[in-house]
Amino acid sequence: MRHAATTAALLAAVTAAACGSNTIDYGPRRAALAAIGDQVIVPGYVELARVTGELAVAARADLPALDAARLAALQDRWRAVRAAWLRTQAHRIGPVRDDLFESRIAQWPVDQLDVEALVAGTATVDRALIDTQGANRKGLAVAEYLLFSAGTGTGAADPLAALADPRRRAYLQAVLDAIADETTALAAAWTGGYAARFANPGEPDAAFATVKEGIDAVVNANVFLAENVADTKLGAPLGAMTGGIPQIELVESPWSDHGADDVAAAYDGLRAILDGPDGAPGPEGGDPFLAALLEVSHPEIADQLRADLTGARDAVVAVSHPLIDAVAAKTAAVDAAWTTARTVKATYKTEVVAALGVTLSFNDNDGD
Amino acid sequence: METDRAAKLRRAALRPIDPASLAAARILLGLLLLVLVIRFFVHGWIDEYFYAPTHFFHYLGLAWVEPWPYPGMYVHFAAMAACAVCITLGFHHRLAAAAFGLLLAYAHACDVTNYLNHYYLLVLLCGLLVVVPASATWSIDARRGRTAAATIPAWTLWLLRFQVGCVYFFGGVAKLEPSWLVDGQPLTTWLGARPDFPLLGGLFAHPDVALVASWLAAAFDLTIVGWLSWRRTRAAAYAAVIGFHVVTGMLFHLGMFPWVMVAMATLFFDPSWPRRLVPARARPAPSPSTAHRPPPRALAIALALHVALQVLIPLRSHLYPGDLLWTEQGFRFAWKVMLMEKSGNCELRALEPSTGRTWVIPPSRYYTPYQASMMATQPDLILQFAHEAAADLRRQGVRAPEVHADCVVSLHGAPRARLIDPSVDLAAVEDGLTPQPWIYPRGHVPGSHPLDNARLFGRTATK
Repeated sequence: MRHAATTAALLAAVTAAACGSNTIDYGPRRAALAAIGDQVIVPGYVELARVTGELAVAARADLPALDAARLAALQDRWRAVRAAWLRTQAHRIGPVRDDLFESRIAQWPVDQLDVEALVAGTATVDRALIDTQGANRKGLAVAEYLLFSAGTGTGAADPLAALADPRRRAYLQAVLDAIADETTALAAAWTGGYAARFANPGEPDAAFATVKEGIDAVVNANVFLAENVADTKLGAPLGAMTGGIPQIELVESPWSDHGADDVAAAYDGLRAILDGPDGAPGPEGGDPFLAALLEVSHPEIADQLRADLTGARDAVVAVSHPLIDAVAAKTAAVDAAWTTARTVKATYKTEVVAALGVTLSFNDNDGD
Repeated sequence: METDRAAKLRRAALRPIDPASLAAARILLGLLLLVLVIRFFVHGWIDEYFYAPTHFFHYLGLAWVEPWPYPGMYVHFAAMAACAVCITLGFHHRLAAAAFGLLLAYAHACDVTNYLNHYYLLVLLCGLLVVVPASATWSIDARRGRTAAATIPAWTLWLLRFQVGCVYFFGGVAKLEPSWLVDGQPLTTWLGARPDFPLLGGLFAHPDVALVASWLAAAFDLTIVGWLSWRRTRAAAYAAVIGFHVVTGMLFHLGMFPWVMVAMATLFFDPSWPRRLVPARARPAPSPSTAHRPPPRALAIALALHVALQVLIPLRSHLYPGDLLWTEQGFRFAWKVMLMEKSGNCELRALEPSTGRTWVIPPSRYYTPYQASMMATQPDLILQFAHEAAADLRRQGVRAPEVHADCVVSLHGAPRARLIDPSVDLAAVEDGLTPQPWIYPRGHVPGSHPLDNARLFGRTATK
């Protein structure tokens, strides 16, 4: 009898706690997922779709009567697209990976010889042709190649002269149209349902079984980008893995000299995940982003990460242009950009991951 | 007096007991082993663990253990499944248990990053199944009359109880350290990440819940064997076992571990407990039996040695200086289960002294992301990474490369600290069981690396 009474009391206590949990909010983590999805990821993809759409429309208007001013305007629009794309790399989650959007939007490097062969060929250059091409014959990098370079073997002195070729213009237009369609579809995937699946772990058809898996996915995307910047975008070109011999052919966005701006945009994307779309620490009780989760137990890590991101962004912006020359000369500025990028990577991979209990390299392996 | 005690102990050890609980443990274990193998196929882990990696981390002295050429590991795991079925059915169970144990040990030994305490436990349990008469009843062999016995000696059950008890007890001992008992880590971090956990998630955000849970978990591990062994508390203790392992199984990716422990905790029940669950006609009539004969001397010595090792191996970590959670020396095979939240960033710096050429070597050059993340916090694996890189550089014609670690680690969210002395040329360091002076003590603030940029850029840097 006494055992029964004790058991009943314990059950009552657990039930009370359980009932309470229905009315208790799930803390900042679930809210953070919703805020990151609604205020960073979805607007990021919508903005990307908007600027790519504007670039395609502008190209349709300007390419037939291209002059230096119109080309410069198109190049500026391409830079805006590229920056918008790099910002979204901080949340490389869901459709962009699962549905292979990234390879169709921004594959790198470019297969220049094949692109030139297609331009010089006899097949009709239109969307149908582009849609059948491999990832390194279309996408943002190919658009950059056509907009900013005279190409290999064209005989032209500059991109304006090279784009006098109607087949080259048609190829560029088709590439830009394809990118616009892909980014529109990517944004639609989020606004059309994935955002809700992302923000509500554990519910039927949710993207994640638990809130932890959702936060893990976000932080893993951040870690991936921080690692990509340090190791691939800066370290590899600097020859870090090749005995110190610079590998300038590994510098990304080489024709537009947007490589340093790529990195700055990547940091902006990381900062948006940390502090929200304005990249500034929010007010007490405001929408929680990643920083709010860190501040629950380790406020100093949020501050450190902000400082690291700011320092790294400042460092890469300070690199002289063109980036290829700075890399070839191994200037002190590019050295500082790489060093600070590695610091960002280390902060994500150590303090941030450990503070949030994130499982790195997201997998279903057992542990004990 | 001592002789009397020894005689009493001997009599108790040789006392005949019902073989039912041991048979039930064999059946349950066999089924769990089968599930374990099936999970490898279903999750695609055979490819992921054995064929996706191009390089492996080896245990000391076991560098020869490598996955079989494709599809050898699929055959390997299929053979394990067959053995698991044989164990369950009690068909040549000793042979099947020996084979399963060896096959699991081999697979487990292919890569250190795959180390799991419960794989180790399963290998040990399989080894003990070879010794104990687990097919005395409810087995094909017993039905054929090959192994049937009305009773078995009590020591055979004790042996398995001891093995399971080690997991709990040393798991509890491992929790008797400040971060667990004072800081409530890593449970504070882990529970805080699960606000949506059924029923209890709302409580997890409360700062004291993780600390209370830490103390309860330590108390559970240290005392549960006693509560299970005492008849009056057994039912409540087993309910606690189920509750504890179900909750931890839901909270963490523990694989088969919770279910193995829930199943093996039944070993502490009365030896006849399964007979309450089976139809009366399936119960063999208990026959009176005199005391069993002691095991052969060689077996007795081997078992005594096994028991001694199972006590000493978990304690070996105390022979190493520094914080175990930081250095991880003596960490494996010691039931240090779910003790820490640790994350690292590790790359190597290589130098060719004769030319001054330097390299930064990321782990992704050799290892999968999973291997790399596991390696980044474990010094002995970092050393293997360095040796792999040094050998690779030598193959490329680099003369006498020095390899230095640039590894930082955060434990429980604390500011990252350097794990390995960056001035040490790891290419010249041999692995071993002695304390490794090149592992920094916890809290070494990372400064710049000796090879950092100064050498990499010093020769050609421009302003």
